[in-house]
Amino acid sequence: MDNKADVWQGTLALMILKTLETLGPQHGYGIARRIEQTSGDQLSVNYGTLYPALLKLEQEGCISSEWGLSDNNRKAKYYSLTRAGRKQLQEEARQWEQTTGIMARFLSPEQS
Amino acid sequence: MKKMRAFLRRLGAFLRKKSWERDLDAEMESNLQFHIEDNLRSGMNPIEARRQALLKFGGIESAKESYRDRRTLPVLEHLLQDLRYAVRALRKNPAFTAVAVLSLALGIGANTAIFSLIDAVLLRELPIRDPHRLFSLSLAGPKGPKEMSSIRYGLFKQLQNDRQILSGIFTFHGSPRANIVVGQQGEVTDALVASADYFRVLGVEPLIGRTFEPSDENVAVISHRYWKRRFVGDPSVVGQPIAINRVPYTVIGVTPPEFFGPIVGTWIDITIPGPRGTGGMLKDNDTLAWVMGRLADGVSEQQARSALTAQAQAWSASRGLRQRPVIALDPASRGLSFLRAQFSKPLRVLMAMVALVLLIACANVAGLLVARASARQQEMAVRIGIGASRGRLIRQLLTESILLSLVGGVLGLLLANWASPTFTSFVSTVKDPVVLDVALDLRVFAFAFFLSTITGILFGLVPALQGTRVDLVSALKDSARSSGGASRSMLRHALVAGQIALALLLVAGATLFARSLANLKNLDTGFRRDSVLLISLEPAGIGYRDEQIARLYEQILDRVEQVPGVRSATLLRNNLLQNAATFTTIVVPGRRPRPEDELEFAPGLRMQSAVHSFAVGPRFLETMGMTLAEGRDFTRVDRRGAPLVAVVNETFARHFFPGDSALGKRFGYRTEEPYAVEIVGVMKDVRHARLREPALRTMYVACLQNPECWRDTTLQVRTSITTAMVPMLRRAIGEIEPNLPIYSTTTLERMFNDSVVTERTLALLSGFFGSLALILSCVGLYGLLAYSVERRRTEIGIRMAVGAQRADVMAIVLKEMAVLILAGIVFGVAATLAAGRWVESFLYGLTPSDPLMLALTVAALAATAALSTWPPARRAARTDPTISLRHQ
Repeated sequence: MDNKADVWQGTLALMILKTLETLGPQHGYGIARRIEQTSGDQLSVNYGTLYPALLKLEQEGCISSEWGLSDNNRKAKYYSLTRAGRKQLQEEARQWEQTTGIMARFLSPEQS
Repeated sequence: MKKMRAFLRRLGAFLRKKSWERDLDAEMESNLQFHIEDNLRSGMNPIEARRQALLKFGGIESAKESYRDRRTLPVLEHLLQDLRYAVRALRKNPAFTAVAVLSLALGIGANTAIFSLIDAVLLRELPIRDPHRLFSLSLAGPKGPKEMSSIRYGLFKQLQNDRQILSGIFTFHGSPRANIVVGQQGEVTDALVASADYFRVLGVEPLIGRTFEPSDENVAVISHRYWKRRFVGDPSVVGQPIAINRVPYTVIGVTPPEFFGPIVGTWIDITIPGPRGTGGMLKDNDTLAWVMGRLADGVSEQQARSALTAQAQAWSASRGLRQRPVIALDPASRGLSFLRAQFSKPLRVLMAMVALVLLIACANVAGLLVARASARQQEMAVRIGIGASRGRLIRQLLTESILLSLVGGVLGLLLANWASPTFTSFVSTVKDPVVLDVALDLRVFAFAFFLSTITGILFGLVPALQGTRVDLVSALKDSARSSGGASRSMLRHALVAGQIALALLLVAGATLFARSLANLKNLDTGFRRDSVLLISLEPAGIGYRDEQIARLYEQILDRVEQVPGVRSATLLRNNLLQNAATFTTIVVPGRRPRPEDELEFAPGLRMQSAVHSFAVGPRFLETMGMTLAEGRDFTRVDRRGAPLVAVVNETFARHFFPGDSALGKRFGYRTEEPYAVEIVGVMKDVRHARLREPALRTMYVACLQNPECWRDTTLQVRTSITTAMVPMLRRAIGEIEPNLPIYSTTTLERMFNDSVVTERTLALLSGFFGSLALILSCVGLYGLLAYSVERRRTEIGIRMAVGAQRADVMAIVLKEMAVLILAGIVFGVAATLAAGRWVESFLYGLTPSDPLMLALTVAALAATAALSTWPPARRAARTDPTISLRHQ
């Protein structure tokens, strides 16, 4: 095993939503690359987790998918954020910030 | 919300089954290409680029697997797989499937049929609006329910006008066996007389036409069933004339198909407005038969009770009555029922019996499954070997057994659908025909479904647990035949022994009930039941009054006795058999009332110095074949104006005149006239009121001397031939009074059979279930032995090869079975003795531990068991060693 951290299920969904918000419609590989790059290659996205996560978001109505053509004319399935997904993203981002804020204060050295 | 949406989409995906796999493949392929292109761009050679990309992708199959789980609902997906597999497995083994399904169908069918009876009689609510708000009203004295009495008409009228506590109230009484004429055709059916608000309070809307309005008179609402039968469903039935007991009525409406009236067990065909008194209008002090009301919205039962009681007391006070009555409310959501009291315990006994039958069926199927599990051991081992979890296998096996039991359940429902009406007809009697709505409703369906599922788990779980406990290595190495395991055959043996025990219990029950019935039927009641014909007449129905009735009866008696074939004719006011004696208080000169002179005429209610009495006509003892000990029978002299006379039974004589002859003694009805009646005869005791109990002190008085007896009397005719006489007698009576309604004609024998209807029902049904149990456990026994002989063929072959004789082989096989059967019998007898106390009250003339019954049962069981072990044992003995050894 290399030392790259695996992405947890819950946070992966948030990352996917954020990625789609930033980049607009994107295919699975693009989403994975973007997450890995943003993490400074500290994260490794496992495809066995990515596809079910995408499916789950789609089933929940947060994202939608359609087949399209890439820049070099390759057929690919593109995912895009829906209205519900945007709301979901804001909600989860807010919660995440709150959680990390609390954790940060909890773990910071001044607090003892 | 989000979860729900995802669930629905997954469900949708499960149902659609689109080509998602190709879709996913394409997506993964395109993403892989992107990855390779990226790698190429970063300077890798093509081979390396592809290798790295694939490495990054990881296991494609496992990605697909988790995608699939997410895509649809895995639980459903697996269930479907299991179902498909189960159907295949069951179809591959038709003999097994047929035996299992049939056993289960019989078991579940019997349970469902009895349950649908219980449902109809004990559980189901009336098909009316909001039945929980319906209550029946009665008056209790201040000391509680011991002084229960009916509500008086005056109070009813007052309550009817007040809609605060009860949103509506109605009263009704039966007009059983009314003579209805439609067109020219007369027929006797059950009618109900109900007050104007009856339909409104129940919330029953007419299917066609309308229901009662306050001013209605001489109108009739008919049941759906009656409309279909008598009017062939004619939509223009409204407005048609019919005659009820010779009074013209107009049909105004038809009730919905499911509505049968307020009495469970009696299907009311005709409802007419009332109530009416004997002479037309009711007076305020007249009592009403039944009163029911619906609580107004927002009024609790408690509030209603106290408010109604206040009203009742005010009403009593306003009429100067000293009583301070209390209104009692009883839930009426399930209607009234006379069946409930009579049959609730027998039905419970029957339910327990059918539950045991089902248990036997379960044991059968479980036995078969255990046998199959050993045959399928290799299959299980292979499946575990290639990675199936044990839980998954158990689930799959359970799916199979539940599928089996559901198929059995469907078949069982069909059986029940056919059996329930038959069972209902067993409870019916001539006097009280029982018509129940035993149509399979949702509740019965639910019952059958849950029963099937539970049954499936019950018989499937243990074999599934055992069948999947596989020692991989030995199971894969050995052939299925030689492995198996001691615990597995122990289980089968225990199952069969249990079956025999249960079957014995049921057969013992059946024997007990059958013998009780026989004892009751052979009981010497002290009078003749054969060749006595009963004819009900109602002269009051066509306007005869008082003295006229008595004269009419005398004329009829004269005329009937002239009919050839008639030996004698008499009158009887009360039904001799159905506990219908009148309780009368008498005064015996020179005797102070003693505690032992009291009689309990209703639970908790005792009457002082009381006797049972029957009002009878001339030649009564002769007609009934009763034996006179002293004195004389009634004659035509004992009529109005002649001195009052009575005939008493020996118990009466012994009780009031111990050590002395009662003949010529006198008694009275009131203290002022203690010598009013002379005892002119003493007769031997007869049993009528309750067949099970010893004779009660009873007197017979001449009904032609007692004006209060003149209204309803049945004519009893003793003839040499019975039913064939009816037309001749009708004609003879017609000559005297052509318009006289003649209601029912029956024989005393039929009446007698009706009086043992509980016993008859129990005997018939328990006999049926007992035989079912016997057959099922024989199948189980046969199956076990056939299987074990098959498995031991090699062993038997070796034994025979080294010199064992056929008889030795038979002995080995039979010994094993004999131990089983014996164990089953021992447990069964123990269970019978333990359960006996529960049914003791249904038995007559024998105890639950009756040795003869036990001996008969054990013999029957041993014989059938031996019979079912014979064929497999013979097959074992015929084993040809050369063949069976080569087989291995």
